[in-house]
Amino acid sequence: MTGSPRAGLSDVILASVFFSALYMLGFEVLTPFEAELFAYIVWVASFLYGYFALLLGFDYVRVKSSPTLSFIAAVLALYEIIVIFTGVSGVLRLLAVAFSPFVGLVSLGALREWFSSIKSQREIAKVGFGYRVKSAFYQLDRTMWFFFITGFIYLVAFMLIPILIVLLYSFTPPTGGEWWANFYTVLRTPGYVNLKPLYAEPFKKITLPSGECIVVLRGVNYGPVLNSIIIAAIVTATTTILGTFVAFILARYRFPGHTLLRVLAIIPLFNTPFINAYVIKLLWGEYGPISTLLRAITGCSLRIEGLAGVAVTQILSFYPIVYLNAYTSFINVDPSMEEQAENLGAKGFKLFRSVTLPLALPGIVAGSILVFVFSLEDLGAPIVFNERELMSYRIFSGLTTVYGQVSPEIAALGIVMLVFALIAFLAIRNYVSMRSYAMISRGGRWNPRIRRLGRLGVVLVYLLVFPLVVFTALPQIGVILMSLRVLKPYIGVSGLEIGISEDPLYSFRRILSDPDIYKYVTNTVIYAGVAVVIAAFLATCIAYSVSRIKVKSITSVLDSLAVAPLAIPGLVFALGYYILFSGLGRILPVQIGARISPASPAFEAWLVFILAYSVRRLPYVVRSVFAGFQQIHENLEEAALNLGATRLKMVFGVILPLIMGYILSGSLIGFIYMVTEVSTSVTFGGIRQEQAPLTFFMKQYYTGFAGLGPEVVAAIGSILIALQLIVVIVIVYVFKQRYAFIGI
Amino acid sequence: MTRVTLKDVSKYYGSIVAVDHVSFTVEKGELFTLLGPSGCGKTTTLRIIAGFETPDTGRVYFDDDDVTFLKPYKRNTAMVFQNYALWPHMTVFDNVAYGLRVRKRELKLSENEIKKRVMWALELVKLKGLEHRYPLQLSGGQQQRVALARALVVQPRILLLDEPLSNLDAKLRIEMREELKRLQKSLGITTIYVTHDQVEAMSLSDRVAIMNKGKIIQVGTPRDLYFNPKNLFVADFLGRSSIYRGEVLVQEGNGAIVKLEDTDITVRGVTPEKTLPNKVAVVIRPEVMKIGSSEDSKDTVVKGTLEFAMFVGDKVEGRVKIGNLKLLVYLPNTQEVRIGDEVTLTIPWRNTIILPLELE
Ligand SMILES: Nc1ncnc2c1ncn2[C@@H]1O[C@H](COP(=O)(O)OP(=O)(O)O)[C@@H](O)[C@H]1O
Ligand SMILES: [Mg+2]
Repeated sequence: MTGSPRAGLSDVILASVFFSALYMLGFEVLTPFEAELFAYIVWVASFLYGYFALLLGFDYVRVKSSPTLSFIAAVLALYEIIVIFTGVSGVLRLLAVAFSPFVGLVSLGALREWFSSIKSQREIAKVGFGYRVKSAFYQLDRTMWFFFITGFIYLVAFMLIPILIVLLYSFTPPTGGEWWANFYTVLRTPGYVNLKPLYAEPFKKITLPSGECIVVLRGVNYGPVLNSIIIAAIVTATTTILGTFVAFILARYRFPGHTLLRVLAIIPLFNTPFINAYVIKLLWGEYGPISTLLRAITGCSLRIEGLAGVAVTQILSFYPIVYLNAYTSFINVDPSMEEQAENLGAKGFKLFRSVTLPLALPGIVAGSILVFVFSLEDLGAPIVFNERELMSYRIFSGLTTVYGQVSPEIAALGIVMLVFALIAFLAIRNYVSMRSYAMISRGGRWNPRIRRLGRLGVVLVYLLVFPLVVFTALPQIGVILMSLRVLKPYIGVSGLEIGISEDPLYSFRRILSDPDIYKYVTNTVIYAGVAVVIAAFLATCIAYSVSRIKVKSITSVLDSLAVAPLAIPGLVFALGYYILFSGLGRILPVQIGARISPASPAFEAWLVFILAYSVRRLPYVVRSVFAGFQQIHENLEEAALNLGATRLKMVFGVILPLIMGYILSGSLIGFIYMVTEVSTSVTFGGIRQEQAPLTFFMKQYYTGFAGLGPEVVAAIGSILIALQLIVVIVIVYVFKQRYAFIGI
Repeated sequence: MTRVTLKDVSKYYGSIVAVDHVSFTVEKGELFTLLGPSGCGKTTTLRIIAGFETPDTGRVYFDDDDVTFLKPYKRNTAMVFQNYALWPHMTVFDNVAYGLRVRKRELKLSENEIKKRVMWALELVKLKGLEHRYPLQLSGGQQQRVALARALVVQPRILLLDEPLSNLDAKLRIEMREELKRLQKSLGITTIYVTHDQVEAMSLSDRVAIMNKGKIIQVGTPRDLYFNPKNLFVADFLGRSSIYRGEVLVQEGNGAIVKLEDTDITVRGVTPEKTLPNKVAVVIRPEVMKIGSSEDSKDTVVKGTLEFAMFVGDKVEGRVKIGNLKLLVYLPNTQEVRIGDEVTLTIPWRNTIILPLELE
């Protein structure tokens, strides 16, 4: 060790305090205009301080190799970007200034490392150019080319181009406006970002003349852009804590009822669009069981509405995603690492905090980031709670109200949503892939550490974890009860009504006999069926080329394209297809154009459904197939090539039979998610109703429009639950694979 | 039969140099072995020959054809992988028949002929009767034979074997070693064999190439390598030996007289070097030493006490202390020895090797 002074974390914290003080000082002594200018200077300076700290010898590698520090860095960087984009000021910006020395340090450190790695790669490249080109082409034989190009072209044509078109379109200014006018509107006007909300209290207490008291939980309206981000942040944080907590208990402890709890814990994962949110609205409404319980205890009933309702619904629906990831992560933590720590005296929470959690964190946040994106793009809860002050609802209504025309402002809003989702996703993906050591325990089939729970622990589990899990499973249980007409879909005089029906299967019969519903079902089955075949084929092409071509620069592009649909909100796809197809409709000859343009009555909506389903759900299939290829030792392929099989013969004769299980289970997951797709189904379903899929029907009728009650939609929901249950069982017991979201 | 030539072949993985400017020629029908410690680049070299990797420098020739960038399925080599790489979803028969079936049209084979040839190959490796089993139902040794049959059935130009015996137990290994040798000679296929086991290499090969850190250190017949190692790495790697530092007193032609460090013993030995540096290493193999004194006046005769002895079955391994010097010796297993015994030893000069101290 050299004796030179090295900058440490305490120096960075000191810098944060210093720059924050400077920032506040500016507002004390300067005129408002000068202070604003000064604030930006301080902000930039504090960011650049990071580079200064690096020069002083701050150990960047320490941050990079610490799971906790690098995770904090990723989250803070995200916060910084949100503040920059939305232009909020005051305390929130002060916080951003305070974080920026650390964020600057980490991002500049990463940049510096990246540059030096490029340089060192150049130094060791003793390979002649001719050899490099030849070896690249050597790996890309005709079959490889075909696989690679097929995957690449499909994704470029049906993902990249639509999105680029949205981007382009978003820069179409209103007459007389600057080229960035739409983004100014979306990010800087009170219609979208409103920092001075009318009612700043998230909840209020109303006392009725009758003496009854109601607490109304609504949330605060900061405009759709901020609302969406705030809700996504709250939902992500809550589901992460909740999911991690439940997963840890279930992964590490055994107690009577453990298996039952594990089954209950995945129930909320079963996706039943719209009706799920509808049931939550009933259960959390003024006359629901929660409110009733609270009234009995406190004398006040509870009503959850609007933004708060959306948040609650999303938390309840998305928490199993984190739970499943966290569960697998905890199982995968090498027990010897925990034992070692225990050996050294770490116990209880300290052991969890210092060893177990850091090792499992990458897997956990891989789930969290999906929740973040899902929450941003979610349309079900906003529609059911009729909450228009969200990005997703605004884009949806922008797409469906004015037929034939989407305003560039909506496109700009879509781009904003995409940017937030993408940045968060990329930050976390980078973080996860950097430290997958704990997750990829090659062939690690050890016995995870399992302990018996002490008596106090058991009591705690029964009092806390059990009710929690049952609570999160209530919506799905509610859907099933409603489909059997046990739970009544409307509030009666004495609140929520429950009772045995004389004809519990009425709704199911209705589904089978009603030709209208039958049409929606067949539409969905056909679209998802075709799309899943396309997706399985593409996934095989992509997973094979990514895992076998050893030219990193080529494969990483395809790999990123293939996971990108996870980070792209469905509504952005809907926007993209809408604008793209409208444009094509104008360019192409009339006979074709009329069938392609969404504005025309002859529009073939099925095309959009199949494209959207196959692209949006591709990552689920790719991931499964990719896992399959990783299971197969490359020698098995080489042995075939060696014996004279061309790659095509080898793939069909040797590889496909070996990974069929993975392709099938990936396809099953993909199929489920296609059947329950909402964003494009609902927007385009509204344009051509006779070609609409099932989810559109669920949206139209969950409130009981046209004589079809919520009970019928609930029956469809029950069927979807059954379908998903079957898929989980098949994947786990037939294909012997884990049902998890890991590996973004 | 095919001659294989590598010219200046290298392979880099990032900053790792897996194969470092390797050149050698394998003659027609020869069994040629790449021998070296694990991680020295043997498998990579073999994979370049099979066409699974392309080299970053250099060329590969089969006879006079440049095959450097020829696809693996056009090379007509057959490889036996270290992990056998049998396809778990095919029976033994289907595994072996695969290479014939994929080239059925090209080779104009009927299903009947394929069957005949598969049975011929299975008979060759003594696996007849197991053709309907699946690989996972077989023992390690049987799987190994299936892999071999699968390679032989296509009558390859070149047979490539990557540590084929390393997963077998000791007894089976010796059996298979002999069988491999017999098969290779009777079929006359040019064979490149990779192993880290020197006994295997010595007993099987026509010629051996010693590799270290991606480089070929020395190529020669087993006997040649053993008795005339080019440098200290080879001498140390092959067989067991006592190695001492010493100072050259006289060098004349390929002989030299060296005074061993920290002793007053001088030994005479042979060296491959034209001019030795002043400080050298003296390599003495335990099995060349004779008990008792010698007629040849050039041999060195030393007296010492037996400090340690260990019965290992076919011989007794012992250590003799002569002043500061400790010498590893093998004693016949019929001789009763006790620690502390006085021993007279002859170090024959023809088998004493003097080399520069550098490893490379
Ligand atoms: N695909 C690969 N990627 C990176 N490094 C590799 C790869 N294959 C081999 N190496 C490295 O090249 C060196 C030589 O490996 P190998 O040829 O397998 O050695 P051997 O067969 O002699 O044990 C080793 O250091 C190994 O780690
Ligand atoms: Mg090897």
